[in-house]
Amino acid sequence: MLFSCVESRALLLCIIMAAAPLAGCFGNDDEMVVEEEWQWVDPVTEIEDENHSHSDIMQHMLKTPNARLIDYHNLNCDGEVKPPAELDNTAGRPCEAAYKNAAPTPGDNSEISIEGNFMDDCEVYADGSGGCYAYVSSYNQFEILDISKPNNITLLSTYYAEVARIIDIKVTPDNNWVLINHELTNSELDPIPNDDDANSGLNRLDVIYVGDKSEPIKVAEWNNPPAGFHNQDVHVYCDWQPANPVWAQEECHLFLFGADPYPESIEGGSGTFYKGTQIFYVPLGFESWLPTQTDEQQNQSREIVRWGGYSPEPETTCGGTVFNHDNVYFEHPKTGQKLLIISYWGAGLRIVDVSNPPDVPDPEGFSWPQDYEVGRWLGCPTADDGWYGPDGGGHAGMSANEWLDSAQGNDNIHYAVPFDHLVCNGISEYDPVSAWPTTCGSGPDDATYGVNWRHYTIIAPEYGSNDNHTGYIWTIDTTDPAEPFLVSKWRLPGEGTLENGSKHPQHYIPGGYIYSPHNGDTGTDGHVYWAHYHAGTWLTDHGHVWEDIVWKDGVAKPEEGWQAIEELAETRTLGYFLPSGPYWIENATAELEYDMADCWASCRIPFDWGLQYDPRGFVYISEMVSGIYVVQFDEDRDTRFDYPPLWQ
Amino acid sequence: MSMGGRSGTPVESLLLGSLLLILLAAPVAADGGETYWVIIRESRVEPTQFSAELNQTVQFNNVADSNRTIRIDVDGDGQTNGSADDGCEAVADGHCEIRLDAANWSVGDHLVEVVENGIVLFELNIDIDGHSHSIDPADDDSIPAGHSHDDDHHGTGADGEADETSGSSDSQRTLPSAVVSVIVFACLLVVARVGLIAREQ
Repeated sequence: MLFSCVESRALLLCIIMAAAPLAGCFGNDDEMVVEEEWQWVDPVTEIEDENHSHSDIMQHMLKTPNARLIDYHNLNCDGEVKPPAELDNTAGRPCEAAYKNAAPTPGDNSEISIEGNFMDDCEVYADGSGGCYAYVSSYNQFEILDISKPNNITLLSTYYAEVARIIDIKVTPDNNWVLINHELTNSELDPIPNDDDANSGLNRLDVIYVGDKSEPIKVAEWNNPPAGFHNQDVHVYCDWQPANPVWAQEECHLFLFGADPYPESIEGGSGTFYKGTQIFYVPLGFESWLPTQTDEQQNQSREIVRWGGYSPEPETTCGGTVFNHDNVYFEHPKTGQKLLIISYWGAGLRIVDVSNPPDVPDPEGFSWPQDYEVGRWLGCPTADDGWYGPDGGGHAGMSANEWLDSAQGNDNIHYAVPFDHLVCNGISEYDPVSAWPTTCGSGPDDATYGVNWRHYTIIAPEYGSNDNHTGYIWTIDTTDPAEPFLVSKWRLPGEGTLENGSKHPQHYIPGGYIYSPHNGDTGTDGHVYWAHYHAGTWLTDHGHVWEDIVWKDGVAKPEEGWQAIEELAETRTLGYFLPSGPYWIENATAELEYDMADCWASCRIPFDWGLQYDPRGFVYISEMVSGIYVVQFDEDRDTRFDYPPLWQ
Repeated sequence: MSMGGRSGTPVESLLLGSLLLILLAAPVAADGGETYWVIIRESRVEPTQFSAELNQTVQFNNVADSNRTIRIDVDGDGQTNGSADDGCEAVADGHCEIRLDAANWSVGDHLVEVVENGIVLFELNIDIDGHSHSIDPADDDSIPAGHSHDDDHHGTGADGEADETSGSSDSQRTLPSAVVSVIVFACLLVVARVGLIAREQ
């Protein structure tokens, strides 16, 4: 009954869990729970009272039955939570497998990135290339894990930096170079949170060479006063020819995309104002960073050149708070454009074409990529006419006041992530052609059915507190990135509870970001995974959005966008998972020394910061206090990659 | 290299260094990225109503082809022409800013008029909700008390973002955090100095 319900996709989730009071009872073996006993349990509880404590891990041992914990690592490296002094701020240290979940938990985890040859099952080739790795930023450090076998992830090394706060981490596709940030956001507290010697560098980007996964070494750093970057992304261009003949000799070129939340500040007293999205070129990038070079050689090349900048033009907004939170680089599967998917808070989603960096740097972003914004989405009209005008399809008909009203789940666009591929009625090009429904024809180029192959970008807000809402996850059709339009929206399901015990139409955020959406990732077949801090990680299905849209005349008219839609499609809830320590350790809080008092952002497990989807069918969740969880949802199981949990 | 005077003790040096860091960094974190935009178009203004906090900056972006004057009811009497009221000039395709300085602004509704050639074209309303725009994590009363420094980043969010939620509230704060820190460090310096003198004696 349960699984037929899921397959029919008839409701939110047919599922779930044992009632909350029973939740702790199944912890050691979820397979033991009799299916018929499951009932929907809403894992979101706003009010703390005698029945609920946000810091009681046992009360949060919740998941839907289609989710299972595959593996867990508390990120202890070698029995210690900090390195010996001689490694301070310069190099990482190798880890020992024996300490996995057997020593104190360092904690303070944030973003996670993964790279590898997943569809080759992470095979390491004869030349030494290949393999799959995860990189976790953790405030003062980052960790490298071998995730080739999702059911036996291994911590390879830990890199410790004296200065915080490292909250974002990206890696090049070859798994050799890691880019981390040091962001200053809270001056009294952040400078040296866990160390005792003075240092600077609160506002840096650092590059770490990780060719040897057991010995990460810092090779370059750049300051970005006043506060550093909040997030960053990286891309290697191999089809760009710079005018400089020295640089042109390089086969490929490295560009960095920084999100500066304080763009109006004057850098270095120069009087120059830089924009929120800042793009840098790294001349002679990779070779210049090799740690085997002499200091002199490295110093000559440890530079980055400010190459471009972008901020939304005021007239393309409806007002509000406008700043760059995040840049995600991707290549559009239909147009082939190299695009930045940018989150700009009140200015919504911005899509900027960075396919062709200019020959001459444009450090203040007068034209590049300022003039290459190809699309945007906000709930309100942002032009007098055209796609973004009141009669156009590129908004949701909201007034500026409504769009900027977070109490309605709007505004505050904090993170945006595109699908890597096109989706057609529950399948993608990852699936064998034999599995494609008739409505998908022969593929995206099919004369009749090609229109059913869609591209989506998912955007979401973040709220510190919100007394009415937790925020919408918006599905934006970006099949034509020049004409994006809204097709679906979703929020955490269920009702909220107020202090007086009465019900509220939806969940809300009493404070501390507790149930806000945060970072997410897209999977295959239209699946989306999103970290919601204390509400855990949620799986939603956007793969059937296109077929579920109710069009005004019964005919799909993407050329008219939102204006042609009678009723938005449903985003289907498929399941959730709340990290709550390893099931096989009876009292993980004590045994693994979870830092439930002296922790950075929250002392409430779960507090999911970010996650990544492994196309073999696994989700890697970075929980801020306790570590990394590998989770698989039944809907993602792929028989080619069978990695059952070994802990059971 | 000695400049001839007695160098500070390690404690003093550490305190002074930390103080310097605070002084240099505090304004950055307090002000950055949190300006509120108002868009003045040819035929409308956006938004027409919004909430703000004391010490925030409101930037009036005039995207119309003609110059506009911004008149603001600062004292909350419903009029924009009082001696305590404020305003700015936004030229065509330009902007001007008003800082909601806690010393001058009061909690409540404040009328804003957009004027061209003496004619009021648009009106909007700023609701100042009584919370000082501060990054101090102590403002977040959802954080359990007694945590050490690492706990308290919620003033700018778990993710370092300003909490812009309308109607949401943490606690009030009147002194900028950097000022408080300066006072604390000054006291610590005095204590350290007195202790040193006492030991030398």
